[in-house]
Amino acid sequence: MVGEISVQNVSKSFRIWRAGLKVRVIDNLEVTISEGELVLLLGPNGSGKSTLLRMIGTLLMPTSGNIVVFGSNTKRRSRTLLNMIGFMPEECKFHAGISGLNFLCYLGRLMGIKSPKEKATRLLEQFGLEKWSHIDVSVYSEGMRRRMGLCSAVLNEPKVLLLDEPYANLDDQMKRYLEEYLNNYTEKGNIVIAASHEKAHFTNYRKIHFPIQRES
Amino acid sequence: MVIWEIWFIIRNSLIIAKYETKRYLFSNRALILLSFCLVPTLLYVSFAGQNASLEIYLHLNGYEWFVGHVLQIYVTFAYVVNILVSIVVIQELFLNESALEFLFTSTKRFEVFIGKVSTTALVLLFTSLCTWIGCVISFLIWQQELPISLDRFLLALVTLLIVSTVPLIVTVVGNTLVMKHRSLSGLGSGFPIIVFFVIPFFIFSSIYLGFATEEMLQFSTYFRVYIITNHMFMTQEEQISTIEEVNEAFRFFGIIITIALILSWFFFMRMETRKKD
Repeated sequence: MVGEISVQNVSKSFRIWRAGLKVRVIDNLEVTISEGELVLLLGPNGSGKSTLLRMIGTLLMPTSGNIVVFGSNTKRRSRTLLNMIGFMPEECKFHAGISGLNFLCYLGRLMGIKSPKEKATRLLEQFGLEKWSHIDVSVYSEGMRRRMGLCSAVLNEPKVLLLDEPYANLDDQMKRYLEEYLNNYTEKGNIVIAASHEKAHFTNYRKIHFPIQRES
Repeated sequence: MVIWEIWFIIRNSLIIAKYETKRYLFSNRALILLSFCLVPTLLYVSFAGQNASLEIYLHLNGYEWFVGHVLQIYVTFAYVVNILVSIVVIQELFLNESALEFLFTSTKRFEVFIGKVSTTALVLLFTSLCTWIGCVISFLIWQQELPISLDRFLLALVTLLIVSTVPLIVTVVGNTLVMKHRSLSGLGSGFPIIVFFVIPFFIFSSIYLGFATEEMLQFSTYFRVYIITNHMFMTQEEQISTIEEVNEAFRFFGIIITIALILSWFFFMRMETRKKD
């Protein structure tokens, strides 16, 4: 089966220098994801969920195999591919000395968005950060940083939204809002891939269970 | 197609440089102000400590001698300040607060690299300008004219920038390696400190103890800075006789900068931003 995202025989190993170990986190993985799908990468800590998410997001390169996103191989990191991807990491780290609004405008300009300020203001309102938009990101709480991470990931309305532990540190109201937001997001044919170690909030997602890491 | 790609590279690199420079300068005002006021303060304390007025000092040693030596010390000192600033800037631009994951998924890595390196160069230029303004003010405070021509003044500024670029680029290499192999965490700042502070310190100390040979000096960046700055305050005849040495010093920096830039670019493009498990 050929999907919009095709993970073809992908393996990923990391070398841990001090321990003298080579850990194979993902071993010959084959996955296909179609348009409009909500996918949950489910598994225990260290099982490779975030690694796969990062490989789809071009932050990591597969040790072997290929990942093809809407016809573009992630190894090439083409501009077309980057425009289709939105990524929110598990730890959202932002620049100190820049306000939330300015950071989003900065990313928006890099992404080529025509009126980044309007778009950023609207997103900050949607995710309940309008009062904090002119305040330095370094003073944001963990939950607010995650909301900022979500704003950054959906800024250019990417076709593929990659979210690492999206509900962590969010309050109940925001969790409900995000659940609805993500369900609506896929209605336009976009793909949402989330990685988490718990099933709550992911009821209508296709679940991909991850194997336990092996050492070689 | 190629023209569009070049346009994107220039545009995005400029966006990164603009935002990051503004952000850095506003969030690290204290560090930059430090470079601005350090030297005049240092000179003032030094004269106050000797309990001698500037006029007496100038009378005893000669005006030219004084100005030449003060400026030479000043360039060397500003070099050290610039290295320290560059290490702090790079740590911030490439490690903890760098938001690299968001940048890498928004634009091409090459543009991020050019933007970040340009930011560091701009911050260093600003710091250098501040230290020079500090120096000029110190002369004005003592009601002395700045006895240096504009071309030498600019040469000093360019020298400062060039010699500061070397540790800067080496720090970039160190930090990109750190990002790739998290376990080598000491490499980012440790390596440039050893290469640009510890080794030159031992070489210079050994001169006074009589161990240093000319070959050892060749490996010290301090020595190259000394040759270049010394050249700036020579008479025209002296300058002509030492021009070859100076050119060689510039070549030395040029080669290091080129190698370090290529290495840092190579590591940056292959950098893997990994989650801490």
